[in-house]
Amino acid sequence: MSTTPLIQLAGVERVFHKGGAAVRALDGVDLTIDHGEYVAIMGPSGSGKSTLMSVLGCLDTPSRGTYSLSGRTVEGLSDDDLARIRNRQIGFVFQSFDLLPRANAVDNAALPLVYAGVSSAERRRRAAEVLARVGLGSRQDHRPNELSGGECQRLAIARALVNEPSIILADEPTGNLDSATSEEIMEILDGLSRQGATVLLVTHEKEIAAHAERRIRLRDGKIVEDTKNSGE
Amino acid sequence: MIFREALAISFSSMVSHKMRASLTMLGIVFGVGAVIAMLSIGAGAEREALETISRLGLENVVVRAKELKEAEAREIRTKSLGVSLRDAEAIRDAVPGILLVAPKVEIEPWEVLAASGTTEAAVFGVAPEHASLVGLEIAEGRQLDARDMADHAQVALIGERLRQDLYGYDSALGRHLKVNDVWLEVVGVLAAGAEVDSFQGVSIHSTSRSIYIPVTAALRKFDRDPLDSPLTEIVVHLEEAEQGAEAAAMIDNLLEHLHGGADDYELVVPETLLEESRRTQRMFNIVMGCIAGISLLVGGIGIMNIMLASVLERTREIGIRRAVGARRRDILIQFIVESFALATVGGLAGVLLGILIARMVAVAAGWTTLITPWSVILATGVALIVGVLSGFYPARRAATLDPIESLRYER
Repeated sequence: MSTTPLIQLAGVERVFHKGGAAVRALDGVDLTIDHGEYVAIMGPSGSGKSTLMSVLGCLDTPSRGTYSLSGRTVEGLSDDDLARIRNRQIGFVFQSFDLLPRANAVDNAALPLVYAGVSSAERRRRAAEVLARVGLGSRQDHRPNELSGGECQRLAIARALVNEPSIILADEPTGNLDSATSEEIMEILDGLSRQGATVLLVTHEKEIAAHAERRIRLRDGKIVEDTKNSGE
Repeated sequence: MIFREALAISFSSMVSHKMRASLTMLGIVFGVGAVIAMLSIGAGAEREALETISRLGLENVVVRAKELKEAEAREIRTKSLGVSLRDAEAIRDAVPGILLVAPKVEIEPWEVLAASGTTEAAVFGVAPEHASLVGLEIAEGRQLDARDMADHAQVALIGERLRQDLYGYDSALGRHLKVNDVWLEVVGVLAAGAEVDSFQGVSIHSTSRSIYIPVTAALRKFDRDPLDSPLTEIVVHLEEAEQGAEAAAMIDNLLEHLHGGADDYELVVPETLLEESRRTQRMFNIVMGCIAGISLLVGGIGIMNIMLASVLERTREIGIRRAVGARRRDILIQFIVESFALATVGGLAGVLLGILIARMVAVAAGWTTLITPWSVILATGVALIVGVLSGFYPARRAATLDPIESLRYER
């Protein structure tokens, strides 16, 4: 592995302007995450964890400070370049799954490949592969409304994995699931981490955060705690 | 990739929103249908006009006696005797580039009879030139000739049906028949089957029930109202159609002089009529084009409206696509292609509707309608352009949505 950290934030601020008032969602965040880490980002609502997630996922850019991803500075990149980074390097998993309701499982899982310019046959092949990895091999032609909540989230994970990204960003992945199903999903994420993937988990639940090896706690846009879990 | 993907997405969304998609397309369907139907009616009208004009013969200039009211006629006849053989001769002598001049008078027959029977017929006094102008063919006997003209000979060419009516299976040559008060000798029978009503553009009545006599005899032997013009018309057959306007001007000059300035004739120049009809047609097309353009515009606004609603409804989908790597351009293309696809399907349905309307008009009103390929191409082409243009604004809105806000958007 290279010596440059995967993610490096230095003095990152993100300010929103709402009707004249400036809201400081991130207020000087310094953070370094290496390849293969399993990190939980915690904090109450309004703590800035969603904004941090957006910045890390290149959906948003810092107002001040620097963010470099695999040694590449994100500031000043064009919208197209950011889209490309999201496409190649980042796999999103959202709380409400956010699948395309009219597309079947294969097409949903293959969506990032569409924007990567992968041919249709190759897309199907790779989508089938990741579906099998998350245990949906037999549900390829089902649409989201024909799948259970757990299956939907597994499909969303498959979509996040399909382009072999360097980071999996999971935003409250179990927020809409019951505890049994949540365990299933967390097992999958744990497995990915064991296979060497970098997994960032945004959550406010302690039990979920316990799966991660490192815990970062945010409050009022600042990191107030950054600890390694001691064992299981 | 994007185009194929976007097309697939568009069609699947059309299929899953059949009702909305068809309502969206309705404007385009009717717009295109209206354009095609109107243009087909226009093209049909144009063709009919052209046929009528070419029936007059583009190489011909026709001098026609005007129909006058009695009081008018009394006034005019003090200066001019009407369209006459003298006019025909003067035209023949004075105007260059003339192939032949064919005077004609129509006689009102109140009685047509022979020893063996009586019948009805159309009776014309013509010059020998008439035969070559309209292509009269003789089955037996001979054509009228110059001597018949000079002698005011009481001879006749008769049609085949007439021969049967009057003489049954006997030969008609040399037999006599009486039209009004005048006895005529049959010198020729016209070929049967010449049931054309036009030849080289000159209208002729069905020849099988016609009697042709020398125009000189017709003028001298038959009683007629002195207020009537001697001749019904003079057809001036020119060497070339292009001479029409020029020759007509010369003829007009000549006749004005001969008629002492009396307004008792009119000139019909098919070449000029053709020009006029084309001009009218152009105007018709422009007006129709504007109306059709407005309906297509309305169709476009309909598409824009629905596309805007669709962008709003699919905000979340746009967010997802942006999150997994769609560029603004990809989103833009997706929505433009979608509106293009709507317009295409609507346009095709409109073509079918237009053809259907044209057919129905043809059947119901008895008009000639003609669906020209260019009208189909024009209508669908404009529909597609409208589709792309009206998709552009909603697509831009979709493309410039903020991905984070789109992802948070709650339906």
